[in-house]
Amino acid sequence: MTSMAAPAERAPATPGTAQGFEPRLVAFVCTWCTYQAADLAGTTRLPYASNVRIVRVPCTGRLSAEMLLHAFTFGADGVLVSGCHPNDCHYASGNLAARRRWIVFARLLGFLGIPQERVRFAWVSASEGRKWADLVNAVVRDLQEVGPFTDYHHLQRRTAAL
Amino acid sequence: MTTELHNVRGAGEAGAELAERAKALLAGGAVKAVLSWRRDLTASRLQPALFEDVTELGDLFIETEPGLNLAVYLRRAAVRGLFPVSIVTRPGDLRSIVVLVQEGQLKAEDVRPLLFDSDSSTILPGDTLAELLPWLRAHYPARDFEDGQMEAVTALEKLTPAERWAYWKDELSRCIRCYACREACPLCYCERCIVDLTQPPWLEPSAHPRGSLTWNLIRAYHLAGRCTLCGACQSACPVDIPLMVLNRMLAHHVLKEFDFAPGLDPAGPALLATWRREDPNELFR
Repeated sequence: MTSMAAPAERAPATPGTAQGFEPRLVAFVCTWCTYQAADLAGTTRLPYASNVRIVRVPCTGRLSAEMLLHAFTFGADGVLVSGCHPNDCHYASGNLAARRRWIVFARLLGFLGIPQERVRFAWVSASEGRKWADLVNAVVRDLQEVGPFTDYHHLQRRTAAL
Repeated sequence: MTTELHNVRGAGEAGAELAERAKALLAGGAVKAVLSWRRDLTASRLQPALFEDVTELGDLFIETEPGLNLAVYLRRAAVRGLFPVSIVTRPGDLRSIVVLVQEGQLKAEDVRPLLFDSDSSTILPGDTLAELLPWLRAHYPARDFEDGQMEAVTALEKLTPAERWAYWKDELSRCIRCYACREACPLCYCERCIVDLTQPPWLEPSAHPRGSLTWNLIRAYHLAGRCTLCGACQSACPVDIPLMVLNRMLAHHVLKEFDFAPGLDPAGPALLATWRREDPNELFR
């Protein structure tokens, strides 16, 4: 259940929040659904966290794990993948193929100790502008709690042990 | 470090039987060559060997310990030119051949595998995939998780994410990006590996900890639902990264979540190229 909240309550990721940290969130979104939802959120004038950088892809099935890791390499603190609900894929089954891959990939990330807040997956249809705004806000809030992904970004520097 | 050698004589009945079986295949013209092991010049280690002459088969050895998987040579032009070949395998090796057939890299009739089961120290009857598959299916995947490696996976899963991160950061920082793991793996057969692509460079090629961590992550991921746990990658690693712990973890969860075990059905679907409507959906908001 979502309700119209006052704008001040809806925009948690503004400069000067308690954590004072503005995460960089890269969202890989399907052009047929979540991208339209983001568009809808915009035309509905829903304010939501501006931390998100949207990368538009033809289908979540188009994505590969390298692309997500690429975002981290280039400084992302979190990655969001969002596409059509199961059975709603424009190409019939791209999201279902993607779902399997992400389950395995997320398992591997978890095993390496990468917090699950860093990589999030969602289904957002073209009509769910509100869900998109809430989702981005929630993911950004989680990222503010776990902080910048310096564990990964700074790995490039040789550790003292080496 | 000493390696116990098992040659056609030293490995007792199994060794003698292996030599006979290889000889019959080669002499009868069923195969043009036999892929197995022989002692190297120092006579202290085993090296892969391609036997084309029946008279040389006296030098044939079985490596009974997991390590080099001879199936990796099936993509070499020199070996492909000699198809059909016989190949001496352990169960993990044979399953990787099944995956190669499944993925269209190999025709089942081009290999006549001989299967050595180290648990019973016997050479299994049969020298075609069709004959050996029932035995594989009867014993795997159950046997995959009976050894100590699964304990390492379970122990790591009990740690907090921060502890696991510290562990893997440490282990994977040793990587020198020699790609021996890739070269040793029969299923890493891409002519141009993702890590060698430079426009754009998807993975950082330098051997700094971040690039190495990412490479190892992708290597494991690209083998998810394909790795048959033969152990060749880990035994090839010059800096002793526990790659098999990653592989084992993925194999375990793939089996649990998708009821899928690779290398048992050459005609079956590939894990990550297929899907089911009832796949778990909890990960998705």
